[in-house]
Order: sequence, then structure tokens, then C-alpha cells
Amino acid sequence: MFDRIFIEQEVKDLPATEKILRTFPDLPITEIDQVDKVFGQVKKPYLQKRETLNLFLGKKRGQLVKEAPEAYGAAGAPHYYFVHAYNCIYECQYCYLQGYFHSPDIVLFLNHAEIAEEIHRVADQHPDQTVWFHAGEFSDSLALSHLSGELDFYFDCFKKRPTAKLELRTKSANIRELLKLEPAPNIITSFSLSPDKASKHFDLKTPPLKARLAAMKALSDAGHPLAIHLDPIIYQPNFIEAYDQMLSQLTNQIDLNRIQYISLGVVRFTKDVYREVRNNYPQTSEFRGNFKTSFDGKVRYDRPTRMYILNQVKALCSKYGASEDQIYLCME
Amino acid sequence: MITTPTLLCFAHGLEAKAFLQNLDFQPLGTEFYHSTSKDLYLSVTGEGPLKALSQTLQHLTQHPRIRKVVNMGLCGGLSEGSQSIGDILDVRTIYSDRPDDEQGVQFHSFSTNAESRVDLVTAWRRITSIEKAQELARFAQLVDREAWGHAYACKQLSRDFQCKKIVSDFATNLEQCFEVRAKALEYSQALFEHYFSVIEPDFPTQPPEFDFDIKGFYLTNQQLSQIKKLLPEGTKKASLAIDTILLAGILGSEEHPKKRTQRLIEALRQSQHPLEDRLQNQVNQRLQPLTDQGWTVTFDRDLESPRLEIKTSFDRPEEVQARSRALASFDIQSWLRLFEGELDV
Repeated sequence: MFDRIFIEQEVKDLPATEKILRTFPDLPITEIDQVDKVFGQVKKPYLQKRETLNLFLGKKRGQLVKEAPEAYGAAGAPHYYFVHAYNCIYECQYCYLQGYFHSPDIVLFLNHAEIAEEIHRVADQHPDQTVWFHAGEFSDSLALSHLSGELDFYFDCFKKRPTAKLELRTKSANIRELLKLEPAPNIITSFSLSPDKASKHFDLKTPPLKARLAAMKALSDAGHPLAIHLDPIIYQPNFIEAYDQMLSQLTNQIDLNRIQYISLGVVRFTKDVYREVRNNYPQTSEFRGNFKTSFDGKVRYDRPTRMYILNQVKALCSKYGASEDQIYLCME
Repeated sequence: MITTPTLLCFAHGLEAKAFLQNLDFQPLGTEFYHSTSKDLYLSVTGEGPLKALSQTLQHLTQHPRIRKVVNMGLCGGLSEGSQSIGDILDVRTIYSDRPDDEQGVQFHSFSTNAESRVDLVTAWRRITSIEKAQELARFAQLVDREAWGHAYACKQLSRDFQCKKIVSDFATNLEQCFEVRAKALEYSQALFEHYFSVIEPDFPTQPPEFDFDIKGFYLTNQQLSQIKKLLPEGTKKASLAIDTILLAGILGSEEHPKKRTQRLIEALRQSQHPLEDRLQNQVNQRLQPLTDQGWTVTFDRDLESPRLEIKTSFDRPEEVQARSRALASFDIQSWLRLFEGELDV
């Protein structure tokens, strides 16, 4: 999986570091002062992740918890995200990470105690509100959880803080670590889903839809709260049939009433990411036409098309039993 | 015979010596040569990325027929064990280490089409300490003094670029420099042999061009370019990329070849962006009652905002009445609903 490991001197003696190193006993290790001194210092081509990927272990510095952008999550509550990793082992063609960091290498931050402290500090600022904390903004929350081993730590953190909610965003089916933990009503695992064909086409190296649905079922059966992101929806001529079929497959396994929320979003890019996407995936015709610079400077479909797509998928969700207040539109 | 005019770049005359001795290179300028038999240009740029950059830019500008640049020469290994002295390696990505940049290794990198896993960092100064070599080893396995300059020039002028390096020493062993000089001719010969056994046979005999290889159409250059853009990127032959049923339908008509071309472009556009096409029709349909009566309607072409601006001028009272009627009966709700996603698809 990895070619080399770079370790910050400050974390090299942590038990988490030792555990990770035991998983890769033969990899060359380089000690560094700080992740930022090496990671992203050169523009390493994104698609190089297919051949060579380095692993960085370090300490997250700077702002540990950040306010989420507007319309990031369900309306009416403050939303924040925290960063305990950079980058992802999957290769989704639309992924904003390809234009965000200047390297596809994986970074795992191991100073979870400091991050948790900051989560509590931020939650204290909203004594009368439910505050949301999202993990997985810059990485998949579960894909490497067997390696990074931080889930039990954050479960402890949020169990002590029942008024705050934690969302673990994932496209993974790697639920082994999660199933070992006692479910908590305020810790929600949210799965990003796309129809099977679209997923195979756009979400390279991710588990197939069937595996994700099986993972959802297992978690649901174990009592873990779940949510769904139908995001990003990419227009294809048969998208209505494809989403219909996918929701049918989903509801065959899980009752939509057991899903905490469903977010809908249409594919969108920053200008830099759009340039990278076109450059990295020139054969993908779905990213070529009909994209405009929209109200917030992002590159999207025009508004009538976006709203048409969202209305159609929303109607399908209702058809399969989702209620109006379960659904929200992301970044619209 | 190589049909892609190619520029070979070396830093030092010794590295280029086997090429200059074995081929019919004639001087075109200072340290710049051309071989008629192979249609190869050769430049000895001097050491350092600035010289490499300026010389390559100059040659490519003065000889725009050069389509490809190959940088060959010696390089240092940054970590012993992964490469051996004498290895000839294809470089994948080239980074730059500019000492006046506080950030150290420079941000912009250039990738070649190489399928190798070997990366190289171009140092702006000679590596004089093991610590510096170790620092650079975090980013790449090889170090040289030129490649980034050549790659930068090629990127600026959209030329293909390839980089082949022979490992002559290790930057972790600073004593090896004298041995490198002694062996320079041997390395030059190895690069020469490698070039004609491995690199040259890979060259395409013709530059890849888009070919509209279907009879029965008449295309202007602009239409050819439109069709190329509507087909998957990298399509070389239109006949392999266009749906045969669609083609048969158009070719079966009695229309003039010019009209057929227009229909083909339209059909390709619709198949690529079916919703966009229908949306455009619905925009036109909704605004038609105004435009038919002589109103000039301006709206956000990106269809992000529903705002409309309408204007007109008139000479006769009947025109005032007709346009007023059209405006009064204009279905603004239908227009607004379009922006809420109400598309009759």
C-alpha cells in the first residue's frame, strides 16, 4: 500500500505510531521535524497515487476544529469539522482533494487528545445548541480506521458529550473497528452512495455499492445510527432510473425511517479542482459540458439543471419512504 | 528515419560526445547542431537549470518544427541501494530545489509520460553536503542540475518532453566526482546506444492527429475542430468514435454534405449534453412570446439568476400595443419555475 513512511519526531514514540509501524515492518522510515516541511512542499501529481504513495505520521497543528461552510449540514445547527487525516486511498474522479493538497500522500495525525480538547472547547461555546462535528472532510473516516485506530478515542469523547453530534463520513465498507464499539445515539456514520454503474465509473477503487449497503445493514443491525449522502449526483441520461434502482436496493436492506438524514448534492468543483479533474480524467465526458461558474464561484451545472436533478432524486427518496424533514440539500 | 523533429539536450559536451561522433551533426550555432539523416537537433546547454531553460526556450522558439525534447545525461543517486551506478532510468516527475526559495524544494513539478517510478529533483546549486542530499532524498531518488529547466520550457511551449538519466554517482558519496569525469565518455556511449535501441523505436512515425475519416461530409476547419471537441479526448479517428447508427441515419439522407456536417455536430452535441440542449429549447420557448413581438431580452447566460432585462423601440402606436400585450401576458411564473428545476424533460 505504501512506499515509505515519514514520521514526525514528536509522535514517534506514541503507541499509535508503534502500532502502525508494526503493520508495515519492511517499509523504509524517515524521521522528519514536521509533516508540513515535506508533505505538499512539491506538487506531486495526483495520479501518482496509483503507483507510489507515502504515509506521513504527525501532529495536527494550527486550527484543529474549523467551522464548516454554509449549507454543509442540516440547517439550524452549528457545524464544524475536525481534521485527523489528509487524503484518501480511493480515487473518486470528482474528488476535491486532487486540487486541495499538493500531494496525494496519506497523512495521519495522531494528537487526538488535543483535537478532542478543542472539540469540547468549541462545543462549550454553544451551550444551548446541538453542535455537529464532522470527520472525513479531508479523508475517508473509515477506510483506514483499522490502521489509524482513532475511532474508540472519538467514541469516548462524544459519549461524554451527548449534546454534540459526530458524523463519520465514508465511502468505505471497512466497519470492522466500528462494530467493536458500543453504538452511541450522537455518533452517526454517513455513507456516500451512488448508483452502482456511476460508482464503478467515477468512484475508482471504492467498495461496490453492494458492499456499502451490506456494511450499512450490519451497522444498522448493531444499533449504530446511519445517514446517507447522495452526493455528488452527476447527471447521466438515465440518472432517474439509476437512483430509483439504488434506493430500491437500499430500502430492501434498511428502512429509510431508520436513516437519520439524507443529504442531496449535485457535483461541484472549485475552479482549481475542475482544472485538475479535466487534466486527470480527460476521457470522462460527463465533466466536459454544461458546467458554469455559479453564485459562489464554484463550477456547477446551471441552476435549472441542478434543481431539476435534486427535485427528481428528492422525489425518489420520498417514494421510498423518506420524510421531508429527513432530507436536506447540501451546498445549495 | 525519425519523423518527429527532436531536440536532444545535454549539459556537458562530454555527455553528448558519442552522439556528435557517431551521427552527421552539423553546427547551427554555438553548441547547437542538426543531423539531417536523423532529423535530430542537439544542444549542449551548460550546467544549471537557468541555462537549460534559456537554451531550450531559444531553440524551440527559433525552430518551432521541433516537437519533442529529450534530456539525457548524468545524474546523481540520492539513496544508495535503490539504484546502481550505470543504470539508465526513465524519469517520471521532476521537481526543483531553488535555494533562494524559503520553502526549499520548489512547488511546481513536471511529469513526463514515463511509466517508471523514478523521480528527480533538479538542484540549482551543486550538492556539497550529505545533509542536503538527505533532504532532497525525501522527494526524489535522483538529482541533476538541468532537467527542470528543460521541462519548464517544454511545458511553456507545449512540447513533448522525455528525460533519461544515467546514474553516475551518489550524492551521499562526494568523493566520486573524479571517477565521473573519467567515465564520462563511457556513459555517453551507453546513452547513445540506449537512445537508438530503446527511445527512438518508441517514436511515432507520424505525429498523432485527429482524422475525420468518413466520406459524405464537407467540413470547414472550424467544424473539424468542433467535432474533435465533441468526441472523447484523444480520439484519432472519427469513424471509431461516432455511433454507427447515428452516422448511417445522416449519411442515408439526400442532404448536401455541408448540411450533413451541421446535423452531425448537432447530434453529437445533443448526445453529449442532452439536458443542456433541452434546457436551451425551454428557455427559448418561454421567452418566445416576448421576442416574437420585438422585445430584446437579456438574461444570465449561465442561468444562475432568473433576472431578465427587456427593451424595445417602436415607431408606430400598433407596435406599442402589441408589445404591451405580449409583456402583460408573459408568463413570468413559468420562467421562475424553470430556475426551480421545472423542466419538461
